[in-house]
Amino acid sequence: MDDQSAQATALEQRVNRVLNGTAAFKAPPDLHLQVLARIERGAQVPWWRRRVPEWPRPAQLLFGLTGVATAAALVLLRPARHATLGTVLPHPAVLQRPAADLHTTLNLLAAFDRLLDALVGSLSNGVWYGALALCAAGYVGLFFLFALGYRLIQTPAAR
Amino acid sequence: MFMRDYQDMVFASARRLTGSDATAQDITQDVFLKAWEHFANLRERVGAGGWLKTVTLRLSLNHLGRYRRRWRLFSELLPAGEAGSDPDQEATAPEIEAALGSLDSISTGLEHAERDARVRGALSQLPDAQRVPLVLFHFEERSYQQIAQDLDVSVAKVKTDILRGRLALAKHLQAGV
Repeated sequence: MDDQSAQATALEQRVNRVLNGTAAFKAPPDLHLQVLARIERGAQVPWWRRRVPEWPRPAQLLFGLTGVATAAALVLLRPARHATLGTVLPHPAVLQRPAADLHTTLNLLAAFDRLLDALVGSLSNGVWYGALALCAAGYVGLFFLFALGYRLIQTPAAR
Repeated sequence: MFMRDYQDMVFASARRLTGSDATAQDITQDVFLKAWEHFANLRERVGAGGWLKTVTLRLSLNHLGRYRRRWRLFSELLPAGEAGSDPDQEATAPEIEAALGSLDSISTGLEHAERDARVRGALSQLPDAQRVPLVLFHFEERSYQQIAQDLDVSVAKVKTDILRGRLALAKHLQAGV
């Protein structure tokens, strides 16, 4: 062990002695009351406003089933390009208005899908690569700007 | 009763790591709320203190998480000489000599209360990058490897930050004498 390492070890021991010779921090005397108050407030929160893992088991089950059913419905009712609503959903008279609105929405989505297809098809590979390169350059530029700012502002204080 | 037995330990750990009374209070409350959720298992356990200590460290480090991510990211951008060199070779012999002198003077020349206040003040003045590994090493008795894992940085970086922290602490103590 050279002199400098021996000095570093002495420094470690000295700092250890100084730090551990200091009286420990004491918690505020009313801290347990604050915790009890939070526990009490937590107990008064109705179950539906708590996190899902804290819900009653039947509610969790229903929540899961609803999620699965919603996902399944979205997959089944996705905007088919040439489908009309009539082929997807039977609609009695009371549902005519909302069904018509939904029909319009589905048509709009299908039209948007076709527009996107046409747009993607019309652009050359060069344009795509250019756009990607531009995004990458912008990202790298921002990253280094942020890094520079961090080093100028934050790092000197940490030394 | 359970809480009164452990609240000082939990608060002290959180306070030393975060450097803030208010944050340490929040973290202590969170720790005991978690303990309340697991109370049935916890009161049977001999190592309840260890469990509380682990949760306190985790919550305190999570609180400092945003800073830790930046620290890790940008420490990797530093030149190799700053981030990965042997920390013992970084500090010069006169620097360490001066630090040893100021630590000796604080150990012998002051009353307990004044010394405590000065050490706490000096510790609070350290930046998180130095205070956190220093506290983990000296108070929580974690090894360099464990601290590197806790903070997700290299062991060399931990050693460097701890050495810088010790020197800075000595300087702050000296400045206060």
